Amino acid sequence: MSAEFWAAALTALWTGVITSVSPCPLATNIAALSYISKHSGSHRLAVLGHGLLYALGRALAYVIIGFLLVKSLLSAPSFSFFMQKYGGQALSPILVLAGMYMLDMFGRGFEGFNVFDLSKFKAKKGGLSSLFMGFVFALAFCPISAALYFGVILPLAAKNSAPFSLPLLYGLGTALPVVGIAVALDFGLKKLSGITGLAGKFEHYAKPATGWVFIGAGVYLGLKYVFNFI
Amino acid sequence: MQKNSSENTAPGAGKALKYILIAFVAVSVGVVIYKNQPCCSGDKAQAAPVEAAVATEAAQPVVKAEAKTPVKAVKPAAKAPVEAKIAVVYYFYTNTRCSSCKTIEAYTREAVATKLAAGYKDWKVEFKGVNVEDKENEHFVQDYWLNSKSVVVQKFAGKKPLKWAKLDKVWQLLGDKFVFMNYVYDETKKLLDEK
Repeated sequence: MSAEFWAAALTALWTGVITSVSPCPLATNIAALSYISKHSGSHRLAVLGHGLLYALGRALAYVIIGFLLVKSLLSAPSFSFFMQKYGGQALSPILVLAGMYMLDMFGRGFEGFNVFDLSKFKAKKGGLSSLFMGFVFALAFCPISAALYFGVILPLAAKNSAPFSLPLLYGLGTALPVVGIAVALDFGLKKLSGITGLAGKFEHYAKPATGWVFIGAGVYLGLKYVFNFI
Repeated sequence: MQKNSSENTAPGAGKALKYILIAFVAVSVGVVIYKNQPCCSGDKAQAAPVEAAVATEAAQPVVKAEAKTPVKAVKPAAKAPVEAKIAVVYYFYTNTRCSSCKTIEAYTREAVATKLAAGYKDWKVEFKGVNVEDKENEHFVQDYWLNSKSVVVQKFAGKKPLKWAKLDKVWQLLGDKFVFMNYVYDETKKLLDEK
């Protein structure tokens, strides 16, 4: 592979990171962070595993969109504006309902809004849920992710004849800060638990906290994209 | 998933919260449906107070661009009378605003107001904010192949649109005001220097 390709690959990954640390996707990043972190107590590598699945879900979304655009099944400008307009609007009620579900607000036996768990299809500990969450969150385009993905990554992919690898790297880059922080938190918490002997306490509080974070993120997105109050 | 969460919530407060959240979801869905009715999609009340005056000449169809290819300028008629040479620096936005978008708009506006206030050579340069979610402006999305909030410089000879350039790097440079404003200035100059 040429040096030009490696430069493009690095650009794609870095552009993903830049996208992720901008203020716009903060709400979904916090929701993802809390969801991934809540698995901290379940298994030694659970947070890393869920983080990687979340990253893969994001990457998958960008690869599929890139593929559809290359095959001319989508018009980039129309699709981009459509997703920017409706992505946040659609995500708002989904997050609120998912948060309510996590808090058992529909009753403990309720499975109708099992959006982020997919228990009927899941691997143990809901591996698919993180993948699905990454996929859905990536589709809720912010202005910056739309500008960088459609304006930088896709032209770069076309120029380097890399329609698969560069969107993939971009997707992984957008998840990198969230996964990095989640893994660091997990590591720190395990150390802290080892010292203080509070193992298990985190999980007790993390589960409802994740539900509230989802509700908060959903309400925020609703106020911003549906009601235009923010 | 989780089964032990809202045990600490008082039953009455929990129930009230549950109905409030369900109401929020229901109203959100209702508002989205309402906004997308043909009658009610304007949403102008929420649009930010950007200078949205799209001059008549600016609203004219621009020279159509084929994706990824430079636009060919419309050659002015050889014996046409001298027409005003205007470059419009457009900032295209939507109803939903974000902090980065406001920064791009502010920097672009400032670059035009400070660095290009006196024009460039015999070109007059002006800034215009355009909401592409307004019905009459939707064509700009396809005309300039826009993907997001964008800055585009369009040259006009009188009312005739000539070449244009999309400033793709604005999203990457918005962290540095000085570099951003120089970028807007340099790209505008580059376009105006072209025949």
